[in-house]
Amino acid sequence: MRHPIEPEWLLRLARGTAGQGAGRGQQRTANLRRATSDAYYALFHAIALAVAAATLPNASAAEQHACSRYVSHTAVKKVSEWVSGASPPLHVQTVVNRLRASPSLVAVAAAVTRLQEQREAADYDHSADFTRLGTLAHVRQAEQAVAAIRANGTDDDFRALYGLITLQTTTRGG
Amino acid sequence: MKQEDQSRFAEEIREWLASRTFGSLSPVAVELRRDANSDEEEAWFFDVVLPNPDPAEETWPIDDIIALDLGVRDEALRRGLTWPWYVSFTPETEEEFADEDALEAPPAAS
Repeated sequence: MRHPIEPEWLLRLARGTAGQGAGRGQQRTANLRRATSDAYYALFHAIALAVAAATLPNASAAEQHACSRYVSHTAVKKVSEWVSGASPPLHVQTVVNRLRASPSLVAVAAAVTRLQEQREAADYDHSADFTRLGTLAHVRQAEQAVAAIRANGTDDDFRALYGLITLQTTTRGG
Repeated sequence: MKQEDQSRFAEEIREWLASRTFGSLSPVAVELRRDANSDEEEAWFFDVVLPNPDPAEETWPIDDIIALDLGVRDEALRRGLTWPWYVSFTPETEEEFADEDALEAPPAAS
């Protein structure tokens, strides 16, 4: 029996680890770091699955799950950075400028750039500080971004975003 | 673009951010620092201090956080600040939170 990665389950885990609804008192630093990392991975997997579905729309769910493994963190990060303000390559400038005008898509890209940077700090930077308020903001931002991805599966701008990520993605091996 | 121009743009955005309201969010202070990001690129970090949210809400309104993000992006693009830049949030006061990490030693390694 297959048990695919479900972004919503990672978000549920992040909420619990961050101490949502636990009342006063700060969570342990290790918990806040894990919650930030889980929130990022929930968003990353939601995007990877959406990219696979947009690239191979007639494939089965199992085939899309398999192909989503080729969607790299670097590809998702790079395209999100273009939307967030980094200079894109010349021949994608027009489409990136169009995507920058889509508020819901821009919010997803902003969530990726923030959570990716915070996830790196959570997993590797011993000097980084995490607060429960800030961590719950990360989790809520990931929740909102995943919801936007779910709600905009056939939206032209979101499909263009996934197309740009596909252009940045290569298969390995073979 | 000259580095001094970039520093001036970043400082202008810091001042702009500190003077604005985004929905219910009015920054108490904004600190600007130049540091390496996770790719070891030099980056601008805007550390925004925010009033503590309503305890019942547990964090700041996410729509207002997103509005702040978009505002900073638009200002950075308008002024010509070169990527990368990041915005992070710190609560104004943390006194109501006790750090459990300080209350007990980590478990001994087996």
